[in-house]
Parts: sequence; structure tokens; C-alpha cells
Amino acid sequence: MSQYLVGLATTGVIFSVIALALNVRWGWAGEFDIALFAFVAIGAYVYSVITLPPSNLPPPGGYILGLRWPFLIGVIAAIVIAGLLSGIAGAVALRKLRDDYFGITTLAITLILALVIGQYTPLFDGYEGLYGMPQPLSSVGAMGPDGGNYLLICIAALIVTYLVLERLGKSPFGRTVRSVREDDTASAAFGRNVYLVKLKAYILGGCVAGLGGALLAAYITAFNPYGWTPTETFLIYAAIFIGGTGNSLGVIIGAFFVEVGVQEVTRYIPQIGNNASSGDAIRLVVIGLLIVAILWFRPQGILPERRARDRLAGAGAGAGLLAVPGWAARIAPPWSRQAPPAVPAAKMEAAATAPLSAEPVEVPAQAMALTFRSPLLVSASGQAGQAGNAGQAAADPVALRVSNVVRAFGGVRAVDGASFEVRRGSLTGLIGPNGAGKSTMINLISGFDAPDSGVIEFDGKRIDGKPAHAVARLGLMRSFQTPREWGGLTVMDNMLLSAPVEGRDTIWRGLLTARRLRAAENADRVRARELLDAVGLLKLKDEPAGNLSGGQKRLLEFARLAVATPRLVLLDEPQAGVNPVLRERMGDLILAMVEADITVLMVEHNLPFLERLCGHVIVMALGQTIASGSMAELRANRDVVDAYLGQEHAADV
Amino acid sequence: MNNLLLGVGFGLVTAAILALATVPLSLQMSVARIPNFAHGEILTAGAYAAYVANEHGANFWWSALAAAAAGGVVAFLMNALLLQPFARRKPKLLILFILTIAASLIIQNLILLFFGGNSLAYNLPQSAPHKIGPFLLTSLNLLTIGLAVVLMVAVHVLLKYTKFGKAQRAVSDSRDLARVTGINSEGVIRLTWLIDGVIAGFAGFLLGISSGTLSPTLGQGYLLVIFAAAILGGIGKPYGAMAGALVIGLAMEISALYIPASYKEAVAFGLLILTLLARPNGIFAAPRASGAAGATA
Repeated sequence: MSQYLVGLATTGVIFSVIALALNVRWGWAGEFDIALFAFVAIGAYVYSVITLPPSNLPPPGGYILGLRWPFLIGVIAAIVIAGLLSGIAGAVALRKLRDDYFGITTLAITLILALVIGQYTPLFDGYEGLYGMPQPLSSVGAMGPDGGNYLLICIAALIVTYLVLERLGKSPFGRTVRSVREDDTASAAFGRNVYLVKLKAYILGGCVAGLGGALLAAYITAFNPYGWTPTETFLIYAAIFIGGTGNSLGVIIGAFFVEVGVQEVTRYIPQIGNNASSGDAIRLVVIGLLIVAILWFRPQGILPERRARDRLAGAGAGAGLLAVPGWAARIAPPWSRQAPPAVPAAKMEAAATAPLSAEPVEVPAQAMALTFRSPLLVSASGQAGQAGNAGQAAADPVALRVSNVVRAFGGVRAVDGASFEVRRGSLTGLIGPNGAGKSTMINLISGFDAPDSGVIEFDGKRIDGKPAHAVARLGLMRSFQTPREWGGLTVMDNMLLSAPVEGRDTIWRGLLTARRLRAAENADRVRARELLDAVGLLKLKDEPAGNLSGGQKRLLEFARLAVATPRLVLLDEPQAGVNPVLRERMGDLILAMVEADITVLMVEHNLPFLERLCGHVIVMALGQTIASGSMAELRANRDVVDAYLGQEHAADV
Repeated sequence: MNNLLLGVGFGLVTAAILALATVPLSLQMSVARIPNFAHGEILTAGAYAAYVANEHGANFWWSALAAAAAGGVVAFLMNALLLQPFARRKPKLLILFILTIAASLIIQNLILLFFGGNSLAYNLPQSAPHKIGPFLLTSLNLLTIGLAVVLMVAVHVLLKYTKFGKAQRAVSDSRDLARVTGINSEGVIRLTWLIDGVIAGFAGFLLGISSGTLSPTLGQGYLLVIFAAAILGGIGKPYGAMAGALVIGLAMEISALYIPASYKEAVAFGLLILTLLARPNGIFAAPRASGAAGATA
């Protein structure tokens, strides 16, 4: 191989590492980060000052440290410091910023850093920059001093980075990070601390960027502030778009294409006039046009992000699991908890293997009934369920208590001293005219908003002011008026993300205990298949959830709530935009929840539907709770008729 | 004290240019809602068009006209050829943001291709500074401030008293609602981009004069200062942008009296970050409840 080709390959490999760093931030987490190359620079500077000999530059020049330590220590320090500073920058910028403001903030961080490093010469010798960084292996072998065997080190670094990121990407951590990209509100509703997840992804990306910076500094053996303008970061974006956002292999291809391919092709364009920059200019115009073209014609890139495949870990392990007595009961959905032998083993096996066949699995009618009981059965046993729950109920029959809650938006008091109780195991309705404060109430209870004053208690614990993910982890979950699914992820991924995580989605566990995690996830997968089957979505389990119809998304939402095993569910107009046939099914599903000992508080405008399902209904108007009782009682209540029922009934007649 | 007042004088000049650069961005963001990374390139295009005109013997006014025309054309085409076709597909906001980055790369490097990377300068008559009260300003400085005030009043009249202004506010409030009431949203957006470009192109000319030299990164180098002013005033609020420009302009020039002048942009960036952290809706905007969880009350 000629030295020239070795040089090209080294460039491509190093920029692949850098592109993988951005892929974690942008491709996985959807963070619009413009500061990427600042962290590459930090890695480069840290590597340099650790491996270089002490500075002997005349003042005001010079640089710190100069330890003359070996390559590997320099690289590790680069990774650690870049990660650390990413943590600080991310902690500030990710706090509460909209996506585009986040991008602008990271740009500001880059420019401030470049300014400070350029102006403050004792740090890294200002705009002069650092020279003569040691390059390991360069003098070994026949390939000469300029590149040479150093390529091998870079390739090794790329392979390790690739394998680590692939492993993490497929782990529960990777899934959680992607969920935040798809819909962070939904992630919070299912117990994810969105801020922390984004911060972890930002730090992980920073570590990889630091590695890339160290490799780059050792390769070009010089580094100064002109080498890391925002344009460098945009070139990496171009590489990711072209290669395939979210796909590590695609990103590597994109990096080679942009940083080596386009560079080499445009090298041969003759200089125009006496314009020394014409080559660079043409190259960047071409890249700009390429970004536009790829976003228009193939926004997913050359290699699109791979969809997660749903398969149970190792057939042997799976069979072992299935053979364990009592296993079925342990992983059975909460709906069927009370009913002994949860699901016939045959059905389990069917669920485990069937989805790969084209036609839907034939579910025994009996299994269906176990998962979601029919309304007739429930109306009788619903009462029994409440009575049967007496053990808990004796302690406190109230699952949710709202006392004097106030929430004002500017001058509008959307919730103005509302108080009510929801009894454990009940199905309670919440009605009121538009603007009564119902949805604000749901947001306040679920932690998506905090009350200005008042107390909200769930199972005797105060939850007002707690963030949404903390409330969700206590077992209080919610649905949204428009279903919020993670559209780019498969239906099965949506189910797995909704199942209790139990601390499985950390970086460390994803990295070190991948096999055990897969085994633990088997239980979730089987249960998810079962629930998907029950709502008729099993054969769509490997489709992106965003492709489902409105009604199917609603059904998926129910299946997700089911797999999440909450103790109390807030349903925000579950009937909105649902056709009459599906509406019946919704009713059955809601009753099945109550049957499975889940307390339900439901906002709904469809009064006949509410009357059929709910024994107890709370009425809100102008931010206050004005009445509660059975629908019959409410109809007799003058205030309620004036505030709400009057119009509604007039419309009915 | 005397120094401080001098700083205030320079600050007013900077603020005037900054206001002319920021108000059109804010106007565009109130209607088309695109965080435009190529906004700096509209300024650059204006500055270079004025340079070409100036080379051919145009005086200040004709050069200014050339700048405004070039800015208008660039902004109008960027919207019509690039952003609007994409916007019809209803992509995520960030995709539009990234498209403007691509546009910025393309425009900036086309300018680099045609004019080279060497610094260029206008050939305009220099004027000695006058002592006006405590301030020390050239006629060009005074003209800059005067023109900024005139154009700001013009924007105010446009928004407040014309049919376009009314339609513009309607589209800004709710695009869909505007459409069903018979307002041509896309037309309003197109016209907004044109106005955006005309004012920004002119601002680019003034920026070129005040910088002394032109380079293809003239506008991009100023972009974050513009964003700082826009965000300080509350993005999408043209009047807030005027106030934001005043604060940033004064802060930059006054800080230059106390710390090395090379850090004065860092002051603007620092203010930007602080604003985003403390009051993301801008310091002049009434505090508003963050919409919770996409649910409607």
C-alpha cells in the first residue's frame, strides 16, 4: 500500500470514530449538537499536553503539563476529560432547552471555547497551537514515518468503538436513548428521567469524540483553533445523513465518503483564477448540495437505522424458562394475576414462535378472556374485586387524594382549588366543560406540571411537584389525548420500553451484562407478545409504531399500559378519535384494567359510555370540583346541569 | 466616566447595525418559524453585492440598494427553492434548521469561490469623527443610527397598519387558522422572507462598513451575536429584537472598555447562554406557562 493510501485510510478511520461520536448524540438521542468538534479538540489538546515534553516556548506562548507520558495514557485522559467536560456542558445546555435553542447554545459554547483557547496563550499556545505530538508505531515497519503502522492503532480503536456502541445500541440503554429521540414526553410518562438519559448520551458521545481527537492529534501531530470550526461538525453531520442516521456501519461509510471521497474527488478540480480557496469552496458547496439532496431523496441515508429484531434469547435458554414451573404465573400480565394457571403453556410457545409466520396466531378464546375479560363478567365481579381488595383498602381506601390544588397560567386559574378522592380499585370518571381544568389536572397528578399550591397524594405519599418519571415509577401512569408512541421504533420496542425497566437500562449493565439482560428481557417479550395478541397487533410487532393507524395506536397504548403494570392509570379522553366499533373494545379494555386491580381515573366527554363504565363521576367546572356521585345523582344536581350536562343533553335531544 | 460615554456611543452604533440584522430574523421566525443558520450569509451576500456596486462607482445609497436587493433575492430564493418544498412535507423543525446550515455552506462558499478569501474593502469617503455631546461619532455612524431608527419605524408601520402586517400576525398566531380564513399563508411567508432578506442585506452592507473589511465569513461570524439579541428579546418578537439588540450592542462595546476587546463577542455569547437558561422566552417577554405534555386544558 502506498503511503498516500495509508494516509487516506487513516483519515477515514479517525473521522469514522468522530462520526460515531456524533451518531450517539444526534443519531441515537436526537441531540442537535453543534459542539461536537469542540470535544474532539479537547481530546486532541489533552492528548497533546500529556504526551508532549514540557513546554520551552518563550512567553507569552507555552502550554500546560507537558508530561511526556505514553500514548495510551494520553488517549485515556482525552476520553475522560472530554467526557467530563461534556457532562458539564450537557448539564447546562440540556437542562430545559428546546432542541433548536440547544443547538444554538452548543454553538455558543464552541465559539467561547475557541476564543478562550485562542486568546489565552499559556493554556495551549493560543492560535499558534501545538506541534510535534508523538505518533506511536510511526517509525516501526516499512511504511515510513508519515502514517505507517499508526493506521493499525486507529483501526483497532475504531473496531473497539464500533463493537462497544453496537452492544450498547442494542441494549435497553440504547432503546431508552432512542425513545427520548422519538418522543421524550412518552419516555417520561413511562418512568424515564429524560434529562439524565440525554446527559448520559451526551457524555458517551463526548468520550468517543475525545478518543477521536486524541487519534487525530497523534496523526496530524499538530493542532490549533483553526482546526475545529463549526463547519467541521457540519461535515460530520453530512457524513451521518449520507451514511444513515443511527446506523453505525452507515455512519462509517458516510465518514469515508465525505472526509475522504469528496475531498479526493474535488482535489483534482483545477484552481480557478488566482483564488487559492477555490478547491475548498467547491468541496463545501458540493457537501451542502449533498446534504440537501440526501434529505430530499433518501432522508434515512444509504444504510437506514436497523429495526430491532424481536427474538427470544437462545432457544435453549428460552425452553428452559418455559419449563420452569410457576414461570408463567410470574410473567403473566397483571390482568390475569388472580386467575390461576395464567395461560396455557401451548399458547406461550405459540406466542414465542408464531409471530414470524405471516398469519396471526390463533388464540384460544379462553386465553383471550383471561387477558381482557368481557364487560358483562366485570360489572358483576368489579364490585367483588373491590371487596376482594379489602386487605389493602382497609389501610386506606383512597388511592388518590387531591386537596385544594391550584394552578394558574398567568391570570388564568386553570385549576382553582380542586379537591377530590379516587377510591382504590374504582373506575372513576372526570367530566366537565371545555376549559374546566381536567387536562391540567391530569398533568398535575402525573407530574407533567406542578401545582402552585395544594397537595396531591398517591397511596398516602405526596406526589405533587415530583417529576413525571418519578410519579410513573411509583405506579401512577397516564395516557394522552393523542396517543404518544415512539414512532420510529418497532411496536415490540414500544412494549419493551413500557415494561418496568428496573434499572436495566444503564450503560454499565448494557455493556457488561448483555447476555443476562437478554435473558431477563425474554419474560417481557413473551408477555408483550401476549398482550399484543390480545389487542390484535401481534403481527405488526416488528413494524415501526409510527406506521400504525390512529385506532391501532390507541390499542397499542392500552397494551403498553398493561405491560407497564401500573397501580393507577389516568386516561385522558381515551375515546377521542376512535370509531364506534373500536369504542366498544376500548370499554372492554378499560374494564379489564379495573378487573386486574388497577384504579382508573378517566376524563371523557362521551357520557353514555361513562355512565356504562363508571360508578362514580367527578365534575369539574372553572377549575373547581363542583360535584361528584353516580351519573343519576349528577343529573339531579342543578349546578352540574347548569355547568355541563345542560348543553350536552340539549344536544342529545 | 468620559470613557464610559464613549463606549455608549459606539454601543449605539453597534446596536443600530445589530437591530437591523436581528429584527428581520425575528420577523421571519415569528412567521416561518425557522431558526435560520444561513441568516449570516444573507448579510454577507448583501455586503458583497454592495461591494460589486461600489466597485462600479456606486455611492453609498446605490450600494445600499444593491445590498438590499441581493439580500432579498437570496432570502426569497432560499425559501422558495429549499425551505418551502421541504416544509410542505412537514418535517421536524431540526431538519429545517439543518437545511439552513446546508444553505449557509453553499452560499458562503459560492461567495468564497467568486470573490476569493482575501479581505476586500469598500471605497467610500471617510469622514472625521464629530464630537456630539459626550459621544465621538462619524457622519457614517450617525447615518447608521438614523437609518436604523427609520427602518425600525418602517417595520412598525408595516406590522401595525398594513394589510400584510395583519395577515402576517394572523399567520404567526396560527397558520392553519389563517389558512381557513382565506389568508394565503405561503404567500405571506414568501413575502416575509423577501422583507427579511432586504433588511438583512442592507444590514450586511453596514456591517461590512463598520468591520472595515469583507470576508466570506463576515455574516456567519456575526450570526451568534444576532441570535443573542434575538433570543434576549424573545425569538419571533420583532420589538423585543430591537431591545435585545440595544442591550447586546451596549454590553459588547462597554465591556470592551474593561476587558480585552477580543472577548467582546464572548460577552454576547455569555448573555445568550444566560438568557436561555434563565428566561428561554426572552427577558422582555411576559413569563408564560410552558405547555405541559401537549395536552390542552
